Amino acid sequence: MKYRMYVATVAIGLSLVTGASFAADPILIGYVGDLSGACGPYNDGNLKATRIAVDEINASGGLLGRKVELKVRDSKTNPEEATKQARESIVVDKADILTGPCTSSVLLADAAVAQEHKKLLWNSIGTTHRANIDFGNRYVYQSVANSLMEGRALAEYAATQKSWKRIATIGLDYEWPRQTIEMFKQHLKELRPDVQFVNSVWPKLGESNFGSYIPVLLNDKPDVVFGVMFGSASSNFIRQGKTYGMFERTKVFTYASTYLLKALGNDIPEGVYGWTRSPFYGIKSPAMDSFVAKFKEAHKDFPDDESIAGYDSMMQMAGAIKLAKSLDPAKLVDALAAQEYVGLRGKVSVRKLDINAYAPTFIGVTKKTPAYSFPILTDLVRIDGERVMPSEVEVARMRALAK
Amino acid sequence: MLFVQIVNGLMEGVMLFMVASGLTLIFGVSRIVNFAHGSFFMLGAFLTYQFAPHILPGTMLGFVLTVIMAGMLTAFVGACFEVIVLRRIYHAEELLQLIVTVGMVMIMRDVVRVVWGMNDLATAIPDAMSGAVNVDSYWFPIYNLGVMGIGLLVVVVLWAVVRFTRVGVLLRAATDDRGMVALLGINQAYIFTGVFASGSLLAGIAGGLAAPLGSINFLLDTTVITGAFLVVVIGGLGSLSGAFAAALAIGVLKAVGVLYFPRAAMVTAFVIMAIVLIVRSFKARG
Repeated sequence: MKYRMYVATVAIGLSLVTGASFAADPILIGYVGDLSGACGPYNDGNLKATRIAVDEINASGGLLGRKVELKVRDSKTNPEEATKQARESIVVDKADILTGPCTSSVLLADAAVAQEHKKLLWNSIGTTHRANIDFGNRYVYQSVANSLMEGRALAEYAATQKSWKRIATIGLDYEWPRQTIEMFKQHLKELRPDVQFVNSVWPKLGESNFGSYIPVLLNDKPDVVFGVMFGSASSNFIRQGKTYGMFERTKVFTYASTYLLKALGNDIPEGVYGWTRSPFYGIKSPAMDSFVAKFKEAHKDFPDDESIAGYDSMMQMAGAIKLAKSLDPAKLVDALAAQEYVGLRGKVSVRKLDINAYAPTFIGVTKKTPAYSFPILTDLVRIDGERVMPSEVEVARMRALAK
Repeated sequence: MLFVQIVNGLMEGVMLFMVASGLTLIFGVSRIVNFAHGSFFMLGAFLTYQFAPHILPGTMLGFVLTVIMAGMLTAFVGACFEVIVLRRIYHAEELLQLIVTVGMVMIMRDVVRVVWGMNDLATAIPDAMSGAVNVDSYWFPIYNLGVMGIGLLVVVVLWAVVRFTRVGVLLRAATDDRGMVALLGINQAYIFTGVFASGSLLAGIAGGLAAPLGSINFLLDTTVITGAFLVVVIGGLGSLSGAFAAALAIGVLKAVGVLYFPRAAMVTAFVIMAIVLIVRSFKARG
């Protein structure tokens, strides 16, 4: 019994000694992420990078004289679970600020909880424009291009491809693909009235067999198949597409994040048009080089787009907290918009109207290179948020429609 | 185009049957609703991924041996599960059995995550079966056709075993009246273990055959189990021929649905299930 007392004393003593430099309670970041379920691998890379950022912040003295701590909860790629976990993060863990959602449906669920409890939630993976634009939720910071911006950026790119006249679409049947395809169609029709949309198919989320979708897509002889899906659905679509000769018969334009390219390796053909949000290989800067080196050393792997965005947005938020000298959501939003933040993705400013970053979208073509064991997107075109953000008038109209 | 979709649907249907056959077999004899069936499918896929690079990689023979080995090992794991756990709860209420098999799902998922990680893995289609048969301007992947062939072979073998062998007679007897089989002095324990192992074997082989077609990851279990249950419920719990018909119907209706009602294709299977259940309930009432 005595032995345990000693251990306890030592433990308490140690915690006092090591915690001495941080007098006040830590700033608690509630990381409510989709660690399991379809989003697992994406959140994995995001969380790893967020941890690196938190360690760096603490090494340089924390924020507002307080240490920063992450408390992680698993929302299981499930909106109901997300609502519960986000609530517990705020009520039980006493989180000061939230991050972590991956799928757009989980993001919407988390956003509602953040609003209800008046805590700021920032998002660096999922993309939907409904929370911060349509619903005018003042408690959600969208640090990556939302589905509206992304859909438009992709349309801008597609408009420059003169040979793309007939387009077939395939999207998983849920929030993000629906919104992205809708925005892509709308914008492309404005830019290129000659473009014709042929067949569109909507496999359910979790579909693994695309054998009955691919022939239908190809039946109308499209110039390009535009695909909005992620994770194993994407890789299954590409692998099975090969067996159906899809890449010989049409061009393919799809979401090709670093995670997907790494997972597929040489199974993804060259010449596939792909887009992504923050490719480590596509942004040249000393800050990026040092982050990639650090990530590689810690995890023996290249960082995913979600890692870059996770680190970048954590650092941006840290800057905003310093500037605001507060954790109050309204003050943080002001600070986010006022701050001149230059991060891994370069300068990314924030618009106060919809608390949305002018985040870039990267579009290129898959190609094998000697530098990496997996093909990367080459001839990258970077379309910045400034070009595709909805105007204030549009935002007002969207909000009126949502009411 | 309709013809193309019917063929595509049949290919998917046979694959569905491969998974569902083991499930319905197990239910038919032991009345266990085995949620872990999808987990055995997943295990088969991962084992195929694991063995493929070591057994004559790229060749037909190597691939066949790999899948058989993966299936046998899965069957062994299934047999162990039956002997160690399930055997003790055959007389327990259904809820308890359900909890046990769901527990197995979670255990297997965590084991798979620890051993193989969370990322999507892949294994290649054997060289001889990559490529496609072209009819008109339509392409039919040789591998998918091959899987359909193997699936049909399994159907024939299953049917022959059940119809003509002594094992088959015992199986049918056990499905009908377990007590009677016991009275005849047959050791039920062997039958149950054998059936569970065979069901797991079918799941493992199906997983192995499905492995080169898509990503192998820790979510395969739940991806597969819903479809398998749909087939089993529509086909009549425990009925192999019913499951076969249901699997083909679901596969074809889905593929044709994609062609005509792209937004509603995913609900077709559930609509069939609803109709079948309603009709059955009327029949049951007489």
